[in-house]
Amino acid sequence: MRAEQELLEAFVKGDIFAMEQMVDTYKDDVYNLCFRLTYSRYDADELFQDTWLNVIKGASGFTDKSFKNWIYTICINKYKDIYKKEKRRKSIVSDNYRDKDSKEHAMSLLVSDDNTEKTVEEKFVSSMLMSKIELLDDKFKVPIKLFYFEDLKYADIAVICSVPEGTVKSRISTAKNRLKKMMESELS
Amino acid sequence: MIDIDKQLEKLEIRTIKPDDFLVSKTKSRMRTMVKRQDKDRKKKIRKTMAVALPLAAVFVLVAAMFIFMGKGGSPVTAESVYYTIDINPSIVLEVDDSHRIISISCKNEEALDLMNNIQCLGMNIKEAIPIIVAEAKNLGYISDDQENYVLIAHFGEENGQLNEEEVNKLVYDATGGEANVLYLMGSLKDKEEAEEKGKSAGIYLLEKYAKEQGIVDEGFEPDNQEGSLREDMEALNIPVSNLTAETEDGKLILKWDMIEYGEFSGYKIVASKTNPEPEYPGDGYIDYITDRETIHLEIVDGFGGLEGGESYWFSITALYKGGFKSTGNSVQAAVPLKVEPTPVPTPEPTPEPTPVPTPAPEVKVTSAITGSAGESGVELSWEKITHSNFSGYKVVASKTNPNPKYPDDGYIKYITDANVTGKTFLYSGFESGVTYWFSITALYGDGTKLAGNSVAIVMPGDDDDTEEATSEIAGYVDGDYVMLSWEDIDSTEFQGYKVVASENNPNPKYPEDGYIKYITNAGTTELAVNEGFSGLKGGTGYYFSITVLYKDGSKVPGNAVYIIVPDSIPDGEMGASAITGEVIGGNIYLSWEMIDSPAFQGYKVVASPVNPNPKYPEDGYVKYITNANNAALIVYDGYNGLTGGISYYFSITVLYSNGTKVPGNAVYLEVPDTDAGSEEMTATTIYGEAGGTSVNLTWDKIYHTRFSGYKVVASKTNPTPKYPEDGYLTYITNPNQTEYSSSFSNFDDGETYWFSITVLYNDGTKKAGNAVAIEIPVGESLPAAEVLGAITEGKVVLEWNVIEHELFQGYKVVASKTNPNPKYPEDGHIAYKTNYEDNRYESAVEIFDSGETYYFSITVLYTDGSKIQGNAVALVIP
Repeated sequence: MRAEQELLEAFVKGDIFAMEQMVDTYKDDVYNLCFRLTYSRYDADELFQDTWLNVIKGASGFTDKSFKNWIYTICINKYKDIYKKEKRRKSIVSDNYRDKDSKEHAMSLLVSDDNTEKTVEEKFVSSMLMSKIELLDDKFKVPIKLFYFEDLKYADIAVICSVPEGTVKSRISTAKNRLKKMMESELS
Repeated sequence: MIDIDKQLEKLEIRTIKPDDFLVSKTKSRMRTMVKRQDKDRKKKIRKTMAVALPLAAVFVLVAAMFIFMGKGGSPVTAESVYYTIDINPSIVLEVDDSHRIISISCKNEEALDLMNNIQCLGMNIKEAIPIIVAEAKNLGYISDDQENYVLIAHFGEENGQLNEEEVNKLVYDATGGEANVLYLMGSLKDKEEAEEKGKSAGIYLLEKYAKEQGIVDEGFEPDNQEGSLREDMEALNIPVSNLTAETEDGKLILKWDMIEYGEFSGYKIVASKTNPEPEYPGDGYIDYITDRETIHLEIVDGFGGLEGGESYWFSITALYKGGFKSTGNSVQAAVPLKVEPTPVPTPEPTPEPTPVPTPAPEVKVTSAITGSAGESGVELSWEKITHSNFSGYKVVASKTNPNPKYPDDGYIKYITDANVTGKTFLYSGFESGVTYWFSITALYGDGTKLAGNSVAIVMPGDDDDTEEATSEIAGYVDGDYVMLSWEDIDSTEFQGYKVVASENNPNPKYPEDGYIKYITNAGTTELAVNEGFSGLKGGTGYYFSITVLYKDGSKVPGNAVYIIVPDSIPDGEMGASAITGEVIGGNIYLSWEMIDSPAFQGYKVVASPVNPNPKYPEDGYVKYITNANNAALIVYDGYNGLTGGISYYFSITVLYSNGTKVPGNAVYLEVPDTDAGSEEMTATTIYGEAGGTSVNLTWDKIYHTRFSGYKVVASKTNPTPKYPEDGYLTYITNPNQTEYSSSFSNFDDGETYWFSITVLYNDGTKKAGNAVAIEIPVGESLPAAEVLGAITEGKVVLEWNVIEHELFQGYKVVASKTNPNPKYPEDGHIAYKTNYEDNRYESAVEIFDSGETYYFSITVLYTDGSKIQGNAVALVIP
């Protein structure tokens, strides 16, 4: 496999083989993000394809230092476009998820190994927290997910979300406050 | 209490993988898209005579981007979309499906001059239009002392193109509202037809539009084919409205013909004491009637400021959408004096007659209105006025005044028939979701206007009950920039964000504190500003805030943040420019030092007959140049107000983006007193030879007051080539530039070309000079690469000979499943190597289709543009 830098240079110049190698390199990361945004296999598949097609369209303009950040940005922007259209069509969100299957998928994302020491209560709180995250506005939800689910740094999230780093910190802080209030309100 | 950090960190999320089928399908779609993009790119790449602008560094020539010059049309593809801008400069912009400009065609010299000063390639059309229009204003094509027209037309598929409102706003913002804007939509067929007829596509569409609207006759052809848009508009000869005037019952009554066709806008009733042919806007107006059917006006003493007993010239100017206007005949008539009632003598006592009931005296009254929101519109009704001196009902509507009246709030309908006491106004004339107040102002023949009650009616709107929210702003300093970000507004009523900055007001808001940026995209919620941005001063603190504008006119300010704008432009980088000048023949040749500063904004060329240290703005300017590399100017008798025989102090004031203006030295020169046109306009003599790698041409300089430029012409067939018949290679407007070189790769090896110069003068004269014949040498045989290939340890491995040549540029590794002799660019490439010693390629076999035979070759690229294809090897992928 060619070095990533060489692949990137070839990719920017329109080398389809290099592009396909980039797909192989980043497919898991990108798909994870797609699923954690949509909680639907079907929608994640669509978002995955749309993301890579937009990568092709924008390849010649790629000047970022980090390919991963760049593709995450494309994915999130595409997700927001889809989500906004869905909102306008007033799609029904059941129990904070897009549909029942989505909820089950989301819950299945939580590692639930019977050998773990997690109590029933801990699992309950975790699942509630997951559902409350979905209640947040996109501008808070996305940074929270990127920080806690994707383990990205503030600087990378700033690039992906196209906001200053200070704004990322501010939004994550605001999101946590809101989640805390929602959780305490429900649990009390 | 929940420890939310801990809870979030405890969440253990699985990773989830895409299935193989999804990945294969994605790759397949990507390959299809790349192929389609290549095909589209090839369609758009055209070989052309590159316009060698004196400031070539400003323009970047990339594979799919060229600037065209000339009346010829660009080939139209099914996917092409064009915008044309006609002011006097006439420009055609081709855009891609992201609305970015990918090619620019200048249809006249003025357009070329304009585009010389700005760079729009790759820019979104929404950004480019105001830049182009602003530059046109800068160059004087739009000014406040004339009627200005901007015609913008769209040709091609309707897919996300600009709408009329957007175009109007872009031009309005760029011109300060000083231009009439007309936005037309045409098809690619219209564009082709225009090009066949040798017309500007925009003007062609304008004529078609005018005919369709009935503004001009079907058979109309404008006399002026080559002139400016203004001249074309004036030449359209729109019919006018015939006016008569008569006096009746102490009133002057004007009557005119109804305008029955076209997108009528209104009648301006014009009156002048002194001008026998008054017209709007030059002579103002006394009344503006938007109702097409209202074709009379009663004038009494005091109406519209007219004085009783005085005689005026009256006329009607009819207005149409897009700035069309036509003024009809004028009539002279006197405004009747107001007649004071004569005193009635005291009657002699008479015997008391038998009482007879007397009629009650007439009282002027208002008309009470009622109304409601009907199915299709606002339904209004009002009380009938029965007064004998009743003149008419003015139906008034206001969004802001709960007690509207005429004339303060205008009117939407004027009804002279007293029996008409109701009307329905369609919702399409009002803004959705907005409350309007309606009332009736009753008019009487003596000029009395009585406004009645009002009724408030809410126009039907969206079901969304969106609050008009503020937007919270945050900001911080990052290097030389202040980074601002704010909350986005998600509302159907959203109109825009005004970014406001104030040095002194801790709660700044628009419009009171102005604004530094206006953003109409709700999703754009950040802005980076620095010293010089919209006048911000470095080292100075500002309160920044966002005022959100809504469609109903509301302006909702948010919080403010105080941030000091970094001082980013060192003083040393804001220098003056030293000027020199010499008088040669009938011209003064001025030149000055080029400024190389990131903060550079423009040169103001200043001339003063009295001030030995002239500077802008105090002494005005004769020319404003925004291109830093354009540091020369020729002036002469009559140039922008300069008078022959008078001496001037000439200087340059350099403008910087932070608002600083730095004047330089002055030179004192007398403008030659020439009788323009008396100097002979001559051709020039050209000399040329074949150099090492290029054709080198030189010619004699032209000194003439009317010099416009040199066209360098080349022809393989005509031994006496000239412009325009033989086209041109390049156009040079700098009289001092008298040499030009062109690489052999631009010509055919072994052929003889004749080169000549055609001199252009600013009165349209063209003088072709002699020609020189130059044979293009046959190129040396550049080496190819011989490739060997094999499948080894699961990899495709290719090796070839190293090419050591002074013109070497790179190796393109080409692969094809179908072409046994593949080459670049026709078959694309899978790798590109620019190191001449890097003569090996290897790749895992998995990236190729297993079981297929691929043909591999190397195409060597050379810096003279040559592409030498080598042999091919066939390998079967296991």
